[in-house]
Amino acid sequence: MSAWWQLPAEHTYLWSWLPTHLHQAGLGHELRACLHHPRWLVRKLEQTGPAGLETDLALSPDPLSRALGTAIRQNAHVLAPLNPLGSLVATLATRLPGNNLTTPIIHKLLTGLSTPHLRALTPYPTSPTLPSPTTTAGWGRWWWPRTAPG
Amino acid sequence: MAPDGSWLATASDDGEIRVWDRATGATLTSLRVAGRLDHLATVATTIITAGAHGPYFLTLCPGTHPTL
Repeated sequence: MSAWWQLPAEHTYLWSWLPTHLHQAGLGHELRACLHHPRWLVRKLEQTGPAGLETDLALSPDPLSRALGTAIRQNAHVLAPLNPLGSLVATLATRLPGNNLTTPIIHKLLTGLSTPHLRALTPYPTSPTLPSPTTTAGWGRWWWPRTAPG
Repeated sequence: MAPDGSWLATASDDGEIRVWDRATGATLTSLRVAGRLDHLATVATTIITAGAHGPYFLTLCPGTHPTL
């Protein structure tokens, strides 16, 4: 398996289209390994934003990709770039559901942080279920309800 | 403020919680939640903040060696 998350930032074409090419080449195992790696999730967020990551995750129909895609779509409004280093990682970790599928990724996200960071001690407050935000592609083209859940 | 005075936490109406190094003024870390935040308090190393969607209970963790 290739360490695609180590791609330099200047390879913007690959950051946008690599998962699509893996999918079209029938490399499902390679695609899932890429999509499910915590560093790919974070770097893809940094490179293209939540809409791009959601688009990638939609390429694979496995349960973990679906769970991650749902979490990214529902929390796109808090997953914009954030400084300093590690803050976006910590924010992403707080937005993934802590179930059997995603808990290992949350653990890897947090244990991989080499900088001080905030962790939630209790589940976040919840709000009534709202329509899922719709994402399209790229920064600035996603939409979310003004009263999205905390 | 941290018990030892080393850091200061703030919350803002854009949903960002920031922790500042009091010695340098640099931001140590931040976290984003949905909606406006109106209140913040610290109890030992626990940061409690609340706003549009209710309370959040957070703790500041030191970094570890990267393992990703």
